[in-house]
Amino acid sequence: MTVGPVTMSRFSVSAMTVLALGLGLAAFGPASDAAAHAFGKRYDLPLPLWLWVAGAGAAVALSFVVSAVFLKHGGARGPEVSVRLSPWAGRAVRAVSLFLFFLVLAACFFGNPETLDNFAPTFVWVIWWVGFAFIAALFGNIWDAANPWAALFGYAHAWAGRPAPRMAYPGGLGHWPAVALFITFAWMELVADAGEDPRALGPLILVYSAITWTGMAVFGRDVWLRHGEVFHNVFWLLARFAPFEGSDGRLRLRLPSTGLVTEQPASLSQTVFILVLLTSVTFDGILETPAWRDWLVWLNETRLLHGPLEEIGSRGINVLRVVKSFALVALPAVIVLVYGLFAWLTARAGGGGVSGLRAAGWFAFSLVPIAIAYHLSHYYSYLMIAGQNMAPLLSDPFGFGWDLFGTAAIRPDFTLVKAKTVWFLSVTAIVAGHVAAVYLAHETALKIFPGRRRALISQIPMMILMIGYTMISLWVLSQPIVSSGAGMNM
Amino acid sequence: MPKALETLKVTEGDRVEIVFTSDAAMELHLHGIDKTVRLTPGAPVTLAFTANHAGRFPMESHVGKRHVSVLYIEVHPQ
Repeated sequence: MTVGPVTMSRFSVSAMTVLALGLGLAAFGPASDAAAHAFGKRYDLPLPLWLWVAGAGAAVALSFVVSAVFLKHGGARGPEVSVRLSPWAGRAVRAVSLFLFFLVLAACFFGNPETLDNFAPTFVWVIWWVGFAFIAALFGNIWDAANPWAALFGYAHAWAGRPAPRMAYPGGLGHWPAVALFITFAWMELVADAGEDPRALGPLILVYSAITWTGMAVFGRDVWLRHGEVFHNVFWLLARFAPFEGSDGRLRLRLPSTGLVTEQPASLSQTVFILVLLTSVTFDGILETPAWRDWLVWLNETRLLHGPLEEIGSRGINVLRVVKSFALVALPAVIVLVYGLFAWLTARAGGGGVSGLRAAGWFAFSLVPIAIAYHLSHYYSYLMIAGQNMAPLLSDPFGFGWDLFGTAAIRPDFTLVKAKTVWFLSVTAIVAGHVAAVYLAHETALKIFPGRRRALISQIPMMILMIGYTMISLWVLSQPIVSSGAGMNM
Repeated sequence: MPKALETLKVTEGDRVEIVFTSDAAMELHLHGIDKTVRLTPGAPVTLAFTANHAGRFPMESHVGKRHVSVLYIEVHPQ
């Protein structure tokens, strides 16, 4: 190893500073914001400015290239390739999934209560929630075969003699149950950190199972999957981007992202679901930016709110959580309004034949690639580093000191993920996601607006929106990661 | 009122030495690089390590169960 130049530095810490930072957090609530944060800690370097500029520039330039290509040639058509899928493929996926489902529950209730010594938190959050999203988006929707709730309900339903659903699903309810459950899930994950404690995670899984099975029993399995099962909706949506699609026992190959060109516009509830999904991914990144911390400091110091916040804090409520909860709802609300405005502008620019609401539904799917790209960039190193914890956890899933496969002593190796790899992967993914989004929106515009000229004009507002969204994604990556509670002091 | 947290920027492969002084007894832990320094009032303590891998690592003071970041060390790739 070459030893480079020596960097000498002096740093003095005063107890007052630490106390002020610490007490600041304390004043904002009794629960520790950071006690469990060794789980999911990220050491990513902020994106350097030159790469940010290059990425942003490429996004803008390529937007126009896509437009120009459309002007000349129209949409692209993919090859039709498909292979027959053995029914054993689905059965094997289901068997593994059910085994893991019961292993997670057993680990939650009977395993070691320490987050990192228990299989459940790392498996659920890192491998399943982050990893499965990658698989869904880049490969295909394996969740359809793996969904343990659907499988278990199916067995129970068959055993009970296949009773008919109790009632017809109220049409007006749309995807709203999935929206409400997703916001609750995002709150648990990003605000309450509820899932880090195995003893809290177990009951949460059971509660969600009970809700899902009740929904399936009342309205029918597939009806509830479509409208109320959050993960079915999330993975279905992400997998529309994927190059593989399985249906009717066949596996089809298609051009990535073309599955997002749909026959029907998304309903209002489905559009909101898509937007909430997009913002929840970005939200996690925003909570780690210095801008968020500065905003917390401002909130803390402003005369108007200092009193009420202190009052809430003195009652034993975690103020930081209250603020984050508010942001978790406010941010999607703002996004829904902004998107609604741009969809209306798009409808107007397209000639007015399509209402703003319907245009919002048509174009919602085209935003999915940018969300996938951001998800990839934000979680790549997390998956690669935190995912390594699976090696010891597989050998000792309950944290009892076992060593089933001789891997119990393995610890994550940070050097596996190179900073430059993360940077280039991030920028490439975001620019590629942006291009896919612009392409999809153009394809959709050609379908719903009369004539190529109208369709292209309609894309000016949509393109501005997408460039804005891409810029925000890149901006978040260019910000140094700071812990989201630090800096709050009273 | 603490000001914005300081960030020390170094390059991969650098030998880093930081001299800490404190007016109170405390323990600082450098996450990721996994180094701990124990400080006593008035006595400077040197933390030395070679920055082997790139990343942004928080140095935290452990106050009870709470971890408070006091300094960030950014190791940039060569």
